[in-house]
Amino acid sequence: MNSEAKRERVLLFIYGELSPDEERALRSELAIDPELAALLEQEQRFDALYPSNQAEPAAEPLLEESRLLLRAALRREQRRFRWSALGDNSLWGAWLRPVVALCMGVLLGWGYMAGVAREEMPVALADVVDLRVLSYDEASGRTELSVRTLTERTLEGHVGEDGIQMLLVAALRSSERDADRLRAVDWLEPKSEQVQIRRALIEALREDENPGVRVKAVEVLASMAAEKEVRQGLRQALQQDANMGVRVAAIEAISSFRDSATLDLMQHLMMQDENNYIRFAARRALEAARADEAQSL
Amino acid sequence: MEQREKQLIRRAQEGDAWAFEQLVAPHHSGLLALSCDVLGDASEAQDACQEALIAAYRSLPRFRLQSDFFTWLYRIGINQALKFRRSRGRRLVREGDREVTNKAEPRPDKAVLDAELAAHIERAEQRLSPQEHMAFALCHKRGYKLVEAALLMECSEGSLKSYLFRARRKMQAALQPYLEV
Repeated sequence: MNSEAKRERVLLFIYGELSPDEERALRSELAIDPELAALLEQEQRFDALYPSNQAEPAAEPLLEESRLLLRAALRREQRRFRWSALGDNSLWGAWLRPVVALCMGVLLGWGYMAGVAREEMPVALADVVDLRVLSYDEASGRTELSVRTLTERTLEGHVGEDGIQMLLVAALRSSERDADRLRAVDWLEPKSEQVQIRRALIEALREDENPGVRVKAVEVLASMAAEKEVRQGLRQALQQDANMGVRVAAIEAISSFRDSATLDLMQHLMMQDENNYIRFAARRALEAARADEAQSL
Repeated sequence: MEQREKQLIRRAQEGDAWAFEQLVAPHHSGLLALSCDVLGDASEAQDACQEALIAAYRSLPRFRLQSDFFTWLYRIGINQALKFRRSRGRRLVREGDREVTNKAEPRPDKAVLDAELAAHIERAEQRLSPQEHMAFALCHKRGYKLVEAALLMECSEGSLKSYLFRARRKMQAALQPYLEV
């Protein structure tokens, strides 16, 4: 047996890959074959220097950051998936989008009329302390809500109705339960261009204690980032939010804007931010801005 | 495959991001740690792991329930880490400044070794080919059996043995002064 074959046997032995019989045979050969014994000693010295099977799991802060980044990336994927699904078939895509837009308009219009038709919402909106969803039918949009103010009562209506939308704004501002506020952001999205709803979302981004609610708020606000007020809120979140997921979502939302305040912030983040991803994203945004500028010249 | 895992796969195949997060949660740490092993840089490892998981999410609709999810996911993770490792040379030339700012953080398995030896090991590992490095990370550092590592790296057991044994030989040559003491 040549040296190379002997070395292979030694290594298989070290990594526990020999059968019990093969292992016994090797052990007995070691006593009579000095070359084999020397090879084993050499490999064992390496193992003593760099022990095998000693690697540890990923550090917890790194793993936590990775989980948040994954969540943000998956949200972007979902949005991409929804729109690409519509556009996948060019024939369908061509007429389906206007039809969807028309249906949304009719639905929201109906919701608005239904809201006006009510005399008034039977709760003092500023005092909502808890809102629970008792039922929700995704197909029809009908929902039954339990609202706790001074007394608890049950309401029924369409999530698009103005009255219910205002109730959701109140819940977003003051409900104690994270799940309620998350749901409120979700259901406010279709009418988020209304000033009052938009401001409530900016406020939630600034004030809400739950990072999940803040991330959700960024996602809804991202579609309105062309508005100066919204962009300012997103920049503030990017600079000041303690949560990486919120900051990642915020930089994704504004990185394509070319106004001086946003570009200045990107410049600052690229140089100074403690997070690698943010620095990298800021640099990418600036490079894209420079490329656009060069192209326009 | 467990019933719960099957259910999560089905939901994730329909685009349910929550189900996907639950599905990969038990493997996230392992994939990230393996990327750190091979790339030696926490930030780069995070990017590689992220891209692997998103690639898995996108190709999950094509995953067949008869297959082993762990193997399928790790193959994607390993390929992504190898891809990053291969392109590193080019990227470091282009982004010299990033190399400085993203210098590898001390890795846990090296914390027990003195700094000089750790630096030598780091350099020696970076001189291995991507396949040798991955085989070494899987078998030597993480204790996978040869057959398991071969399955994950999508190569024959014979090739895996060659990668691992060559890696060991190169590491020994690079660390010779320490081995002679």
